[in-house]
Amino acid sequence: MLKITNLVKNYRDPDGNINQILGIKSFEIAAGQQRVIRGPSGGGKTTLLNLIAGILTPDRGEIQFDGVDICKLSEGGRDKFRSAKIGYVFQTFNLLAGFTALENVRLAMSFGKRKHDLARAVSLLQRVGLGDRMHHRPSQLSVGQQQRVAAARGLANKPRLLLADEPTANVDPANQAIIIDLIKSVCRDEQVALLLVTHSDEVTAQFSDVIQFNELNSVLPFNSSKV
Amino acid sequence: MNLFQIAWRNLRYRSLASALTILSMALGVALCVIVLGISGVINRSLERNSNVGYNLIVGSKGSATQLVFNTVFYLSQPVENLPYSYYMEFLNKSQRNALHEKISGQANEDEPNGRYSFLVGDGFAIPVCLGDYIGEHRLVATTPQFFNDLKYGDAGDEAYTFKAGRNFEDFSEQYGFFEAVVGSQVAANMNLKLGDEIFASHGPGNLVHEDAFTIVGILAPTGTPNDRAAFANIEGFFLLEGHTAPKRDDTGIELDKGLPLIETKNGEKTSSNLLTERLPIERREVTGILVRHGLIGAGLIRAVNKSKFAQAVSPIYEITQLLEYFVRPVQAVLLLMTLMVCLVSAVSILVSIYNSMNERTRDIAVMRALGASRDQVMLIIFSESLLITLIGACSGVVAGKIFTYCLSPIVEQRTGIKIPLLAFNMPYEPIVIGGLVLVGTLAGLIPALLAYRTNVARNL
Repeated sequence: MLKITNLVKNYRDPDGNINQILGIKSFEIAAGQQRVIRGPSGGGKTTLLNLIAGILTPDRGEIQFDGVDICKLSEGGRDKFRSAKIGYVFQTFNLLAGFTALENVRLAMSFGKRKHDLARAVSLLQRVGLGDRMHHRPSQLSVGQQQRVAAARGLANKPRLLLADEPTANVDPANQAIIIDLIKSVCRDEQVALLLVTHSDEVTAQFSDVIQFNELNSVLPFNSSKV
Repeated sequence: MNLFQIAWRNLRYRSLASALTILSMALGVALCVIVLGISGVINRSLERNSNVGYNLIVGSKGSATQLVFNTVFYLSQPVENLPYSYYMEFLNKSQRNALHEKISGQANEDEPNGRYSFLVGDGFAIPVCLGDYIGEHRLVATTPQFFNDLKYGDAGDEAYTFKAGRNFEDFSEQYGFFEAVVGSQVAANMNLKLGDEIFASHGPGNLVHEDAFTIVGILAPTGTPNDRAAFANIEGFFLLEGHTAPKRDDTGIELDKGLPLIETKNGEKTSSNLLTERLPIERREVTGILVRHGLIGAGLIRAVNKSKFAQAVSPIYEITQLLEYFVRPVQAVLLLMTLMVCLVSAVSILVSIYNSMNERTRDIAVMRALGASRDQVMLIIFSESLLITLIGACSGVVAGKIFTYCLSPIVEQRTGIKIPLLAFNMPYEPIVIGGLVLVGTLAGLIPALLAYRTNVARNL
């Protein structure tokens, strides 16, 4: 389903020097597969997720998704790809404060093809145990509940791949395992592939398919003219 | 959820700021609606009052505007008088004969046609005497012809009717020469009814004449200045103390100061020896002559204006000039100021949304990460300004209309013009309100462009 080849992302530091932040020779995820990339903070894991989501574009390399190289898509094409195929769960939840839990889930649907699928939004929130909190705003929910809403929102458009960026970094230890279990089981039920990045040993311990980011990321030659 | 619903949620989340911005827009639009509504009433009122039922006002030489203000609107200071004999120049031979017979009791078979009578044709000439007051209201001394021959209204085809009583008569058995009719507002303000006596004076706080006029009629509301005036029989008016023209020689030099008062049995001085006789023609004066002329009116204006002491003015022309050179510029300035208020409202929309953008860049980045395109987030922000503007404009129109509708009874009483709840000052009101909606909406363009350019990865 997802195949990354010779992916390079550079950035220019304040002194004007070009540095490679990401260099991945090869990485794959099959449909329905659940993989974890473990690595320290600031290593480039979020950049990798943003590249897969089409939010950023690489300086070199290919990201094949269902046979389509998303790096060659226009920005509008990547937006459509993202709304149709990718779900995203952020480290800081990023729920919109003015919207209720239900509206946050429906918001994600607004940009995809499930604009009017209220039943799915309700069902997802019930699935993550928030059936009685649907009309609460984020400020009225606990941190753990907020991350559950974020997970439901990530799955709202029935994506092919859910990207989870340190989903339990801001959650207390008691809730970490519950949320990871929830994300895993919902992804399994929905037949959604999962790519989770984390620096946490506890989270890593809940998955069997774990890759160390420093093994994945290596310095690859790059074409500086693209920077 | 569609984009409008998302925009609405955003507005609701910032409810106080949104409400204040909407209020600012609503006040601006309401102000526009009120100014345009009242402007429309002023225009209609002036246009309605220009349909006075006569083509020309003849008065003594001086300011044409003052003559119109004085004669049509009963405003401004009274102008100088004209000899009654000059009024008779507008009458034909038989009319002059009839007057002679009525006033002196002797017909003059050799009486010629009046100098201007052939220009008046089958029209009419009505004398008016102005300058006296009933309380604070102007008294118009005229002949019964005033209400018999003149018409009023938008098309100038509405005859005067009486809410109570009848028109005054030239002479009646009951009240002699001293009958009067009062306008609807005068009756209401002074609590007058049929049979009441009114005393003319030379202005509020000035000398009050001793001889009273009896009210025999109360005019139905006309929406003209006549509602604010009282009308007395000119024959009685001439007989009031001090209303007798001085005797002049052929060169116009005054030989006396009018008829002397005589002493009554009680020792009081009065001119009541004349109360059963009409004042002689040579001792009469009029302030104005209302003329409805035949087809050759321009000739009449030229002929009158050639005289040394009289002028003829067209009330329609003068009122149109007043509209063009005074009323419309004032209305334009008012409208301009109102539009400036609306422009400030539009800027407040811009500031309100723009200020919220800093705290919303993360939200916009999240929406983009969830699959929203640049165009969609731009449309959401743009929709917010559209919603603020539309809600503000609609509220403003409703508030403005309700306000002017509440004023309607007062306006109707003073001008005779009804303001229906849903009447629009065409075509200005739709243009101005539409323009404001456009400007307010465009004010959202800058924040919308900021949303369009939001860097997603940096703001997540």
